Amino acid sequence: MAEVRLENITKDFGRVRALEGLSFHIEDGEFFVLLGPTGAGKTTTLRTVAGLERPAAGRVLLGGEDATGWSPAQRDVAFVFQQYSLYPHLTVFENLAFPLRAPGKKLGAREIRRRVEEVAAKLRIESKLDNKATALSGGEMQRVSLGRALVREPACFLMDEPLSSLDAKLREGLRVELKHLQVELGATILYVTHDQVEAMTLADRVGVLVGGHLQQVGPPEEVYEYPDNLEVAQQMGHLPLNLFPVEEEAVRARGIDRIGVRAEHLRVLPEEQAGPDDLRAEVLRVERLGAEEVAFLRVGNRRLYAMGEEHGRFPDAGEVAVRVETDDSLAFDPSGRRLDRDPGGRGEAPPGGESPADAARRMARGLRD
Amino acid sequence: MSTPKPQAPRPRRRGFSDRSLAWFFVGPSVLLLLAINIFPLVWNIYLSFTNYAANRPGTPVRGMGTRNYERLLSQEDVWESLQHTAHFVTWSIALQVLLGFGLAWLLSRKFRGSGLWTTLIVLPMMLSPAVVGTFWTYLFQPQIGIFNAIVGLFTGTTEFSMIANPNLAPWAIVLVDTWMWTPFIMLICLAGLNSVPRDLYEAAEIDGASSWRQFWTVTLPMVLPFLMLAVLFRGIENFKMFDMVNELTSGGPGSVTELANIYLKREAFEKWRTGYAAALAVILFVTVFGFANIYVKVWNAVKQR
Ligand SMILES: Nc1ncnc2c1ncn2[C@@H]1O[C@H](COP(=O)(O)OP(=O)(O)O)[C@@H](O)[C@H]1O
Ligand SMILES: [Mg+2]
Repeated sequence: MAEVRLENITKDFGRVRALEGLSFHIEDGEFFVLLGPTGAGKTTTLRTVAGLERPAAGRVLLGGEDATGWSPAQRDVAFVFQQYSLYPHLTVFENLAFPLRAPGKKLGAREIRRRVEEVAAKLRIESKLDNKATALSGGEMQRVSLGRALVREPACFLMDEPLSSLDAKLREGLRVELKHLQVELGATILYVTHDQVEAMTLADRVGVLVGGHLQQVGPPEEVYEYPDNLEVAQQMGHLPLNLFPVEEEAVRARGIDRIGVRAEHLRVLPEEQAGPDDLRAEVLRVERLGAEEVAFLRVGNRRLYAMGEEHGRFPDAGEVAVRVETDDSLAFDPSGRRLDRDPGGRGEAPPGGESPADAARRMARGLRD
Repeated sequence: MSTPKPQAPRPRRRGFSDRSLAWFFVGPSVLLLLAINIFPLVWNIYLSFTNYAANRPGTPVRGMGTRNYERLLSQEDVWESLQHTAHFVTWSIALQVLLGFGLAWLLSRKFRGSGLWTTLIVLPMMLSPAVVGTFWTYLFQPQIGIFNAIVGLFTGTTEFSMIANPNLAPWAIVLVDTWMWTPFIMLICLAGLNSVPRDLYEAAEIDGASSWRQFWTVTLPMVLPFLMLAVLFRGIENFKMFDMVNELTSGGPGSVTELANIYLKREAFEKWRTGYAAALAVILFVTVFGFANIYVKVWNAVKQR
């Protein structure tokens, strides 16, 4: 295993700039997740690290050495492709053994069989070893594709949304398994996904990529709680961020343009408990997901999303009171940058003014009127 | 009014039933097929058991039993013509596969102008075989032919004739057929090569496979079904070869390029031994049909892999 470092990577496809000035590093043995929406440049980043794309500018360093000019084979990385890319004419066994038969490896047939069977057992595809790679379900193909990377002992693993086409149960199971394996092997993994749950659960550190720019890097909890900007805040949450435009001059004067409140921080109360600062909202729809539930609300012509954990908490229709209760609301300046970004200063009222939560509360009043 | 009523006509639906409509559409083709394919085939089989001669319409036709077949199989000429055919088919197909695949491999790299090259290379295929046969007789001219001139550049001698020399003539027909039909194999291989997903090569590259291994595990298995189909078409065509060779050498010099079909035409339309030629036609038909069937079985097995 080795550390990976990207320095100022820029990559163009004709007129399209897929990556711009991308720099980050992954420590030896670290699980690094790159999170971003479709088209953000995640796949391009992985392909650049693997040597399948040549950057227009910048350097890729593997284990401290400049690998920018190296071929994919020289880089000795393992790649799990988004679209599996199994060898269709080989059996599952041969697919898994394929990288072990590379000229540099010089492994005996016995050793190859042992390793393949070990990985197959971990991924629960032992019974499929003699199948043709094309005679598998999508989930099985994805596991073979993972297995083909795991049999190797590469400098690092590159994984392009490897769990995206699995069903929810299997995805969760494999997620746990993958994290476990990574810890056990001490593997360096660059993992790409658009799913913030995967990012939160797997990552030692997460990087949020939007539009070819790396927005923020840090431990997942930190990025979740203290997003640098609006785009990061919207990526790190699986419901859309509730955004309130700020109209009051006193608040705007402090540079606050919008206030964001995550669905899980929006408190929904029965009408009779409503306080003077609370917002009245109409319930449009409630999705009960078992342990948690999501309410789709409307205030004026604005949509709000609220998430609660206890069953039977939201009424199915009618009016409710909505409270922006905590200091978890986020304040953004007109360019989308989050204000008051010092993690220690969380909830602290800026000198001579009210806290974002106060502002949100007051603004909620404004919405109601 | 006690007389039994005549059976009431069954209620007629307007128009045709599905079935009669189907026959209405298919019927003409079936009749045409019977008239120009099946009837001649059956008639040919019948003739192969007689001593019928097409240039003597009045004379009575006698049944010969299997004597035509017996004579055919013991005839030196027939075996020789089949050997010439085998030589021609084997070498022309082998060369076309090698060159066609090679060219397809090069063109699939999509360099600048590869589209133009494809168009140029494909041109010979568009010509009529008889025209090709005729103009290659000029190219092979020892005094003015460009072929001899080019070979002369390398060997210093232009005083040889590809089509008059009994040692060279069998190769001349292989050469011309290869010139004409390599593009066909190339086109089909190109389609096969373009069907290989690019990410398989990338996966193999990352897995540390050499180009050679990529070729064997990725390229070849995916192109093989295409290639085999092309070989089947070319094999059948060349087994039946007549027009190009007839124009180029007419089976000569002597009979060194006398392919089965050229021999057949001589027996049928120069010696007018119609019944005897019909028997040969039956044998050729059964041979090519049998080979093709076995081949298609193998092909299907390869496709399933
Ligand atoms: N081979 C390519 N040719 C042209 N444009 C490309 C190519 N690959 C990616 N792109 C463009 O680069 C951007 C990033 O793509 P990609 O890295 O695949 O995004 P992601 O994996 O995050 O969905 C997209 O705008 C995409 O259209
Ligand atoms: Mg992608």
